[in-house]
Amino acid sequence: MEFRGYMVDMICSELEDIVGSDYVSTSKSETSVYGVDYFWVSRMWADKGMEPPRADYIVRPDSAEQVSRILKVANYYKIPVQTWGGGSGSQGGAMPMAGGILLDTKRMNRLIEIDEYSMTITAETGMIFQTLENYANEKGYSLMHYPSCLTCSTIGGALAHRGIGILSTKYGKIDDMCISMEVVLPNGDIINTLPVPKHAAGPDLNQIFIGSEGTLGIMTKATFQLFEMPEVRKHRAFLFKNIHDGFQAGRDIMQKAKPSIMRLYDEAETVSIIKKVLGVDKKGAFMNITYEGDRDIVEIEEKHILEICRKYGGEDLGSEWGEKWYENRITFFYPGNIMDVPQMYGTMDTVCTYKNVEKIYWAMKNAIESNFPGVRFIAHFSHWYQWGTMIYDRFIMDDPPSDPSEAIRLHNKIWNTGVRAAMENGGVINDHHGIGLKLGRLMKEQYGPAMQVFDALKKGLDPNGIMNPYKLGL
Amino acid sequence: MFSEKANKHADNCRFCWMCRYICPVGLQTGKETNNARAKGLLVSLVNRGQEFDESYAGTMYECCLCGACSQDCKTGFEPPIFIREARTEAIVRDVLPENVRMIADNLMEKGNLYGVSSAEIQSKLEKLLPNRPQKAGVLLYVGQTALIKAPEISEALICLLKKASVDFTVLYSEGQSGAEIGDVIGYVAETITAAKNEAAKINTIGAEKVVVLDPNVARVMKQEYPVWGCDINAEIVTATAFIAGLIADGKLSPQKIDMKEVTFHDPCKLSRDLDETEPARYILKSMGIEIKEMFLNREWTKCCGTEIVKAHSPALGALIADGRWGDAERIGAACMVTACPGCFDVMGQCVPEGMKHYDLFILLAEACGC
Amino acid sequence: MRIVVFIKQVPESEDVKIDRLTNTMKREGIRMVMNPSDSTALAAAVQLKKEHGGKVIAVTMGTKKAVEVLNQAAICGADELYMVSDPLYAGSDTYATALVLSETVKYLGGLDIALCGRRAIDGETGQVGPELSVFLDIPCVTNVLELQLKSDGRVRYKRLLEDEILDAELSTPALFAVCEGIVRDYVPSISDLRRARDIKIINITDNELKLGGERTGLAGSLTTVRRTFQQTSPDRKCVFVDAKEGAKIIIAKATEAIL
Repeated sequence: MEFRGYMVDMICSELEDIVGSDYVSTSKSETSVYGVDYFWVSRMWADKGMEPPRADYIVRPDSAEQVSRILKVANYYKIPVQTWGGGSGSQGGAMPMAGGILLDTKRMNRLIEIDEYSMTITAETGMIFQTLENYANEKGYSLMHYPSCLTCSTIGGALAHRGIGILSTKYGKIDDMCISMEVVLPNGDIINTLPVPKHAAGPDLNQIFIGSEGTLGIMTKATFQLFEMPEVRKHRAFLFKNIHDGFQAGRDIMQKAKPSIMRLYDEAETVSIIKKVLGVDKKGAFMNITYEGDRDIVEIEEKHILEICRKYGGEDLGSEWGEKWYENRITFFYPGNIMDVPQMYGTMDTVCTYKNVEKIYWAMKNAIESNFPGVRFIAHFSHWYQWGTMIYDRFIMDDPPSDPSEAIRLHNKIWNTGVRAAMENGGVINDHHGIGLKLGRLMKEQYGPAMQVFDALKKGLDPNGIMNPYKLGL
Repeated sequence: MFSEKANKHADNCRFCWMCRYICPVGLQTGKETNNARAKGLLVSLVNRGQEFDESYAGTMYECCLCGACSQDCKTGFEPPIFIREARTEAIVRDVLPENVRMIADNLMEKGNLYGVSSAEIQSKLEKLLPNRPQKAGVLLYVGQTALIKAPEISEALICLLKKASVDFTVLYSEGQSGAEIGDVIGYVAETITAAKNEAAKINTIGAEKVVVLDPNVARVMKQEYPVWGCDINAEIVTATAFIAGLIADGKLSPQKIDMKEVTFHDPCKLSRDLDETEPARYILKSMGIEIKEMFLNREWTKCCGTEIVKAHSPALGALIADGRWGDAERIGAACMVTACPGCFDVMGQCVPEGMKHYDLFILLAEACGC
Repeated sequence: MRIVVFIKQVPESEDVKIDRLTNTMKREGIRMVMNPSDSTALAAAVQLKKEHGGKVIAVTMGTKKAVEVLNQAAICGADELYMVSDPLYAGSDTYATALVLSETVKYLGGLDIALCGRRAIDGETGQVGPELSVFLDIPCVTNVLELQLKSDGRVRYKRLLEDEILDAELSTPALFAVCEGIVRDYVPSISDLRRARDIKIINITDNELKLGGERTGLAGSLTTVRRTFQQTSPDRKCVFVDAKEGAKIIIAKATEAIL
């Protein structure tokens, strides 16, 4: 896209005509703040005072109709459109790497409806997820979607990357919770998916757009399931001798009960946790588990859980740690607690069947630690299914190269190594952070010939390739 | 150039979004620059070579300095620290947006946001309390917002103090306390000089207590004056706490008022910075008024928008106030009581159809037969 | 009146990381700040200037990053800013540092009053001030609590000693190493801040000081750091006992130790 002379202003006028001149900006301050999201590379880049990637226009529509008109203009001039909600994505998915239009959804932040009888809530996708949760709380309900970015991400963002919350083991991921959506296609057509997600009327439209990371359209409204607040919520913690015993316990528990939280930590992470909890050095695999709901049902679940953990040699550590963890679950993500530049770090989450989980864990750990001396690898396993579980593994490097280009290349090499180790052993590129800019290059490897399905969708829906270029491998 | 403290806080806030959900400005505008992170990021980019231009400056003024972000931060960072310094920076570099330049000039030249002359302020004080005593046990510090924008509140408070037979007076002339100017130009020497002058004036009264009507002013006098080396030789008490005390001591006996579906909006400086939430509720209870609490109440109160934002960006101010009215409407409240002259002026400009708005002291004065 | 203030950039916290190879401090990724008592020295200097006229000259020695403290000094009222840095000076101990700083003073044309903090929070030696005064052949007062310039040009000071406060006076030129917090930080006005932006930082290298590598850096240091380590105390047990029981335990342990 190359604009000569005053073309920039001509296009600006068209955009202002759609949303109003107050809602189109080319100012330095506005374009600067969209140059950094939660992607490590973008943060390192900004920390070193490098020029951030800038969009040409920041456009803030107020409705699906305005989004539609913007996309029509973008298609006419072949201007890239990057969609931004909370900008808290860790994969660089919202970064305006191709310039053009940065479409900020946050003006579309209205609550549309709470249907208490059907237990659903509908809102515009530019709403901060915590605000949606507050609306639900006001009526005594909850969405039970508590990601770490709850207070800063938008509904659209959660859907765009198939997000997960800490209670997902019981209540599901965002793709389970979403009932219906309104989407603006790249050609400007406003469509609705079916009113309910379960039907026999062809492939699931919801699931085509959920996880599409702004490459196939822009979601403007969404309806979610509501849950009643649980009557009781109980916490417990156990120390297993090793992760193998922990996995077996977790797997068996998933057949008998539906805990809301189950977090098993590898030996490396356990050492620091146990020191805090018990005050002594003890090796093993720590697990904290939470179960909730109707009081009677919870009692039965607890019976099963205790029995199973005992069976696999789990030392019962009581309820205090789990309670403390739950109360402080978000504190880790505040500055000073969480990792930050100049460290290099990343979460290489993956998900797999029970058969493969230990194989993948060790493969990733060995691949990282043997190829990159000085890089730490810690993991926990925090979202469980009846068929398997996910690995939430982090690598941390305290002293990355100070040259930004060198740092980026090393960063990508580490990612390739870890993610390939997962894929080679039955894992997938990512569990719940998405693909974005960071991992797009690995999509073809993951999908093989199946990639053509996505390519066909992309070609069909976005023939000009304007929707979020360079992301998702599309 | 920013101080080390501002740089530390900005560097910590710049990549964190956790408090996004609680910013009253961002929630209403949906603008990415209307949250603490964006401002921290801009400050950190300026430190790393970006130019601080007028658009940067404008961003820094689209903020209530209400401290909700600091309240939320689990690791103790405080965006208002670097936001105020960024405002100073805007002035130092002469890149103040025009609408802000006007109120900055008003503050520097006349000592108040509105450009009202000190002669006029003197006459307002004279009108409030004709022939006021030179000395008294209690000094009532009214504050420029109440004097100029909400005189009914000051009148009500005066009436209540008289009814309770309090030995009080007001200053001959009130200047700039440091609260408003500090928020607009930052905590520079000019702000501290204004505060020192005001403190000196207050000390001439020789009062034991200074009752401060405006929570924003009370906060500055209690928390910043000691840091600035302005010593007030008296106990500083908020008007709400003082009046609640008078009721508790039986010096005021309010009648019951029949009001239903009432909600109370906590002034942000009072409930967050000064940790005071119960005296106002006690006062309402003493009038037999039951409160329906909004979802965000007490230390989590959502700022009304502030007098300062209203002064330089009235449309933005009204939008922020709308957000708070929305909170009241959603819980089915029929009326809202506020306890701060700024909140009274700001919320009062956009009362939704069918809702009513009252000030705490005016209500109480009515209940006490003033 | 020429008031020279010596400022050091130090890591913000005591959580210092050591480079095992050179036994010097690691500076990457750690927030660096103006040493707290140097900040007070600067505030004291500015106060003297405001009351009696003159110039506040801020000097720092360190890596290029130390320029940040000079920017802070400008905000806080310094009139001139000097960055002393040269690869030859890296690894200087307090003696070599004091030598370099003293030559800097001579290069800049002398001083009337020298001010510095009583000690830096990283090295904590408190040696540079006194060593500097010896090189400059001027008297030195450490642990200063109060400073007053009298009308006769002498300086009256209060000095913190172990068991009393010394109240005395002397003539300038002299060096004063001040305690933290004895003076409130200077709050600049808007015109101060405008002026601060225009103050150029002047670099001083060995080209100007002509000391050479033998007398500076690791080579010119009279002391070597053999080992730096963090003292970790083993977990201690605390038991409350009465005097009688306590006496028994002490006697038993003491006997054990002797035997």
